[in-house]
Amino acid sequence: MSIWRVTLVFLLLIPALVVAACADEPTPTPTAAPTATPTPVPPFKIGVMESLTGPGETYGTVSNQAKQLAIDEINAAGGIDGRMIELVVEDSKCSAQDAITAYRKLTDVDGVKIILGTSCSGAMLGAAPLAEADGVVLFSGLATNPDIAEAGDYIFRTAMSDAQLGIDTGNLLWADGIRTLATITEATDYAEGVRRSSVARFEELGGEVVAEERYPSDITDFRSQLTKLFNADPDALHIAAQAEFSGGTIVKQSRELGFDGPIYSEVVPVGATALEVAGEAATGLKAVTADLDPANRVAQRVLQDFRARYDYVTLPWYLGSAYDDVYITAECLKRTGDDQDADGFRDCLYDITWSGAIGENYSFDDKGEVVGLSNLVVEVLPLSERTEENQGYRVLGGAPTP
Amino acid sequence: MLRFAAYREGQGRILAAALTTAAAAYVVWKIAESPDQAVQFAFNGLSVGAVYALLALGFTLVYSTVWFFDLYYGAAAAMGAYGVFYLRTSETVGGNHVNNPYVSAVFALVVAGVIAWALHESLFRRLERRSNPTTLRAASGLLAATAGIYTGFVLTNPDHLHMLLSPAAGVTVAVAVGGVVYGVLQRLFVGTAAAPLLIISAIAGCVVGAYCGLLVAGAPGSRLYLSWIVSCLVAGAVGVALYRGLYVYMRQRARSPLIMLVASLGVLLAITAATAIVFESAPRPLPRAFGSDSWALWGGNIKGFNVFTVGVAIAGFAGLLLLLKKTALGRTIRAIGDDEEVAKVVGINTTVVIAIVFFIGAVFAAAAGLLSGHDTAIQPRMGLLLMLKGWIASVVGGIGNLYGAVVGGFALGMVEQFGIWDLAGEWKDVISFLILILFLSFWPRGLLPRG
Repeated sequence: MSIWRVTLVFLLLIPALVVAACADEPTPTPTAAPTATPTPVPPFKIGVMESLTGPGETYGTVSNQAKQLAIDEINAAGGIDGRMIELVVEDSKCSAQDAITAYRKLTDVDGVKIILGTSCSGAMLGAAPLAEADGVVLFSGLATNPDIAEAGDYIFRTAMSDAQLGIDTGNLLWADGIRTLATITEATDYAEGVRRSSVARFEELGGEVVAEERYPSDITDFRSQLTKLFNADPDALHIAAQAEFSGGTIVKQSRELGFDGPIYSEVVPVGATALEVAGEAATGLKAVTADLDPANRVAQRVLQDFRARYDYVTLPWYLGSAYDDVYITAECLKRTGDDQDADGFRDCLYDITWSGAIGENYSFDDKGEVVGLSNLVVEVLPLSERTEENQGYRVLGGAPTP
Repeated sequence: MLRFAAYREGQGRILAAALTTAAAAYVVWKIAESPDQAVQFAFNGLSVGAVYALLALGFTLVYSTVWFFDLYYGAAAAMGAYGVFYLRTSETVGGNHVNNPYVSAVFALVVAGVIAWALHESLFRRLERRSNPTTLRAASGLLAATAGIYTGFVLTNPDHLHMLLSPAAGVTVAVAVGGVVYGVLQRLFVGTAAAPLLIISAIAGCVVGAYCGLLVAGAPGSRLYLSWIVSCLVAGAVGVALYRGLYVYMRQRARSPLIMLVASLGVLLAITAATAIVFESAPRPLPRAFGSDSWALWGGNIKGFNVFTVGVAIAGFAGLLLLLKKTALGRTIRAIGDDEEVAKVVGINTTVVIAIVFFIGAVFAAAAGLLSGHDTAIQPRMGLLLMLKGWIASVVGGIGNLYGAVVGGFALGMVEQFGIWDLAGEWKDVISFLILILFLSFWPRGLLPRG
């Protein structure tokens, strides 16, 4: 009997051990910027909310690293008139709930009035009403949901809205001579939003959607849907995917089914995983995406410095956007001279025109939306020409305006 | 009760006639409307139908022998696919290399256990009276341990799969060829002493086996296809281990198949969850196999690989049919399916025969899983989805009937495709399960009832 008791005790211990192991996991700690020279003046305190763990981890991490890179450059160059800037980082994950917790911590405990973040639209929409009510500036480089435009007076972003992506896609389709279109869309908010805004612009210009299909996120065989789409004989196929895997698989299976027309998409189907899945089938795929301009010197220097410091580069546009946000913040702090003056900071943002990594002479409209930036059109290269450097595609230029 | 059943049957007949007419009219109308799309749908239906047919074959074999739903079946399909991924992918998952010594050790242990049990059941029982039991035990223990270590080596060195598997392939071919040659010689030279015939067939077997071993060793490109064999065999071994380690006790203690259904559901969910932990839950591609180019045919397109899948399904069907109808083993399997108690009474070692059935069933599931994985993608939940489709296919075809399994598999594949002609693609699963419900309530014996 005793052996069974021992086993039972062990079995009961397992959950306890698991819990203990989980608790030991290192939680992201706020990283303070190293001060170059000790100064008697206290540093400016700026809050940062990023999705450092969970589903948005890739975005949040690269955004946070780009901000650290920028802040270290500014502090090494002497700060703002001798005052350093300190970033207080909190993990907002990718959810409204965690964003609210992080926001409360930053405003109540650390007493910041200016917050850079968040990395996810969901988190942004969760924290925005609180920030708006408290008069705290929330400034994001990554959140793209169109609803953020209406979030309030204190809410700003350098990330371009998905609505802009849709308009650019519609324009590109029309400019390329596409008149009839078939769409396949993953059944998620993001993908559905991209499809809706692209199709709206395309139909406004006179195009016609001849067939459309939606798919749940967990399927891997798209052939029946694609067969139906191609039977409508469209000029082109438009893919709006949330997951790189499904985006790549759709491209691959389209070609397997003998479709030889052009394929258009947003950023997801040209990601590294998607291109690996699709292989040679992806060649010629055109995507409208926010990407850094190869001719922009600031952008190229930032990418180089980032690679030198962190030994990798991913999501270059978002990296540049996060980097620019810090410099814009520094400029506005220089103008207001007070990190508690959220109203002054807000007015500075409405006022400012900036040239940085993601574009030149861009500014913010009265909704806090960035204006003066445009998406780029990229085309996937043949398999033999894809390298880690070019990420598998070449930039064709800005999205056309008919 | 009888009157009700008759009433139900009459109702079923009318419904069947009405539904068949309606479906046929709909399909004819649609084909006339767009023959190209019909051809493409037919090709799509063939590709998925072949996978469903393979699943239904194994399912029907297991179900008609032991009469309970072994849900491990779904996990075997996922293991077949993930086995190929495990052996042939060099990428990392969550920062860890896919090929992990702990995972390999688990499967090596399982294989060692299964081999030890098989030796105990087959050789030990026969030799017990003639030889010293201690020597026998030591020898079979040693053999099992060697097999386990060998499996571990094969699983942890996927880059040298062709080298590591060449001895096994050589020995297998040598034994098979030797056996066949001996059988033929025995029939040709009736009355001759056994020794010279044995020597001749042994030499022939060794030569052919060695040649095959060399062929395998010298073909580094064959590693993908060797990994298919390894993952099918490992999935089969796990099936046998579960049978021996879990179901045998349950069958002895509780006679209700419901308890075993629940236990195997636990097994399925546990394996699915473990797969999701080790390999992450995102879908992934398998390495490219042959036949990824598609051929244009009659206005549709079909991949070479899909044609191959259909071929495998038909070959699997033919093989299983031969096994069941023409061999002694097949006769014992059918005897157990008819009445296990009587089979036991007439001296059939039912435990061993059922273990073989579980092995074959799991190999069929693993083959279906890896073929479907190469065709589209793998994900931890695929086992559950494939198992449900295999089950529907065997219900539609008529449980316990091999012809029915093949017919049901292809029929389900076709209905899924043609059914969404005017509906959105998301309705595919709804159609499959509606068919299941229809069949269960009106024609529970399926299209081709068990004879």
